[in-house]
Amino acid sequence: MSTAATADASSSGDTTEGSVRLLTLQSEDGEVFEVKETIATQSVTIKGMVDDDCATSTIPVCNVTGRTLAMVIEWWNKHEIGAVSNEKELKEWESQFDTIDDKSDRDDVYDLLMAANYLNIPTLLDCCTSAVAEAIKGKSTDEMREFFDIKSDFDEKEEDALRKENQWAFEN
Amino acid sequence: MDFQGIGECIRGRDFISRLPDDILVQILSRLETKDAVKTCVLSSRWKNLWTFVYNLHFLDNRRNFVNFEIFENFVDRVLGLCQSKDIQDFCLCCRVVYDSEVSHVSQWLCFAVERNVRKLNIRVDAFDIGWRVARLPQSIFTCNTLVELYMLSDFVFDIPDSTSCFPSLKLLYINFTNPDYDLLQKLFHSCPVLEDLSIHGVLVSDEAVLTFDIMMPTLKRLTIRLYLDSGYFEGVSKHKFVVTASNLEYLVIQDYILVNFVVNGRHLLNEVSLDVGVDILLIKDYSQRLDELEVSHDEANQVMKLLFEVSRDEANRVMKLLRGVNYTKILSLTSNTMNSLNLGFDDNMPTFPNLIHLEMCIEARFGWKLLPHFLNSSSNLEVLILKMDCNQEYSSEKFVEFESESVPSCLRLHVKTIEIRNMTGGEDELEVISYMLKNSEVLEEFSVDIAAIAVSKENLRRQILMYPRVSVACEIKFL
Repeated sequence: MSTAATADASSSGDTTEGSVRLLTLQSEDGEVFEVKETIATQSVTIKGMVDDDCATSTIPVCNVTGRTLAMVIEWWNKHEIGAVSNEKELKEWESQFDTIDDKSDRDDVYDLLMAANYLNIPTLLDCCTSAVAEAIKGKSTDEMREFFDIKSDFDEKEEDALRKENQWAFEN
Repeated sequence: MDFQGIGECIRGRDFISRLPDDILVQILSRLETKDAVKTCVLSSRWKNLWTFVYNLHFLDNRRNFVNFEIFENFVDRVLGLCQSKDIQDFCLCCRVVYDSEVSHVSQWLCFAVERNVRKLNIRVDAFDIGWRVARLPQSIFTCNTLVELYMLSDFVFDIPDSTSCFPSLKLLYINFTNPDYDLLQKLFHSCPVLEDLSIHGVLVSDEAVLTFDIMMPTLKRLTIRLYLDSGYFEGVSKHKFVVTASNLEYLVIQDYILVNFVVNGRHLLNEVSLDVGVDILLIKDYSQRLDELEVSHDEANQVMKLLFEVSRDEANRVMKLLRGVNYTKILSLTSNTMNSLNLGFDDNMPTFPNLIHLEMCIEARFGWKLLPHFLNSSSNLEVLILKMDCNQEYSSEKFVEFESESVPSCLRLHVKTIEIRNMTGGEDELEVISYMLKNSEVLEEFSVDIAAIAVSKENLRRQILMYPRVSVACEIKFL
């Protein structure tokens, strides 16, 4: 997963064109981003604010760091209608989010999931939940525990009982 | 301030368990249900999470037909504990032997309907094909939430005669091996808002001649793929499909038994893709087998003729089909289709007034014969893609140049892109390329993909680059 992102969305395009409004987003850790309204409204939460006329001053994006917000904005830029003409290219770019290989990927996915959930960005949420689901697929429960660093609080008896109740799931 | 560092401290281990319930449920809903259920042993955080999943995917992967009971118990247990009131996606793929097992399937489907299922995907394989099939519960027909239905195996149901069924169904995908004709017929008349219909299956030639009447004013996409029964071509089919769908936009037909397709009305189609005709690969395969048996040339010819001969009238069905879809914007024709069109050609090419994108195969037997007719009939064509068939067994007909005063108007006025795919380097191909470059006055891009089997590719490239181009702006690309 790429951690680099164009944080400054305003440098990427035609912000001088009169009709495009800029929104100011401020991350939890104080970083400020100017983003075109047409792009930021891919977030259902922000769209709601714009529709209710609540997006006139700086919008605080709580619980999302500047680093994550920059990634989110990169996602928005790529998914703006008409930004990437080539569907294949978009899929290729998206594929960097598909796999969770190491620890830093895991942290990014966690941050992005929380941000996508908080800002309500369906495309990003879909992509990240599917990445985690892919990582779970085909793993035994021991492998899952190891991969995600999950500590069991069941004793052996409890776990055996659960396995027995759901026999088919574990045997096939 | 080092936020990165702080982040590390806060995050620590096991990020996944700290995700909110609704995200975890989304993740678990993306898994096959058995994998979702398995997470119950991870820790107490996970014990009951799976019961909230809104997609249920039961794939019975027993290697044989024994032990249905374990699978049955599992499904029953999951459905019993399922807390989601709205099931998005219910997928059931299993094998059955006994009637009791079939009736279980019905119960499970009832459950899905009760829980407002949106998408149903059913495949029930029976031990003996044809004698036990999934019976759809009555409640399915009046289900208001059901939008997509995939029936991947044969099925039966008692469709009520009067009322229209499937009030919200937009997509219907049917795959049959032993179609119940009356049932399909009813089904094709019972979906008031259907937009996307896919029919896949085997239609055997028996005595009954079937007419499938697809009359659906709301239909936008229609896909029909008919396969050969166990790979044998048993002659041209007597069956018929009549399509009346005034809002149809996309049509895909794949058919190797030359069913009679009738498309009624003047559809303003967007895209049509036809692969209709006796499968050339099958013919090739047969003729190779005869070669191996060292049958004499004459005898082999006779056998081939007996097995695969298609009369001109029969082949002309494909031309009639083409005539029914002539208002399309995009048209794609495979080598099988081109072969049938050539065989049945009656000097009567329909006009294609809206056609802007044409993709056709130059097949080996008839070669370029129909290309001039297509160009003359497509006055607004902008994109032309020619795929060369690599089968060199027949000698292809030479490209007949148009008289210079009758260069097709589309070449003079509209064609901006030409692509030649799989070029082998034959004289005829070079002749066509030279002609196109000489006469396409507004051409912007000419691409050539030279086949791997072509000899001296470099020479071919040089030769093509040397041809005079009437359009100065034209760029030649080698793919």
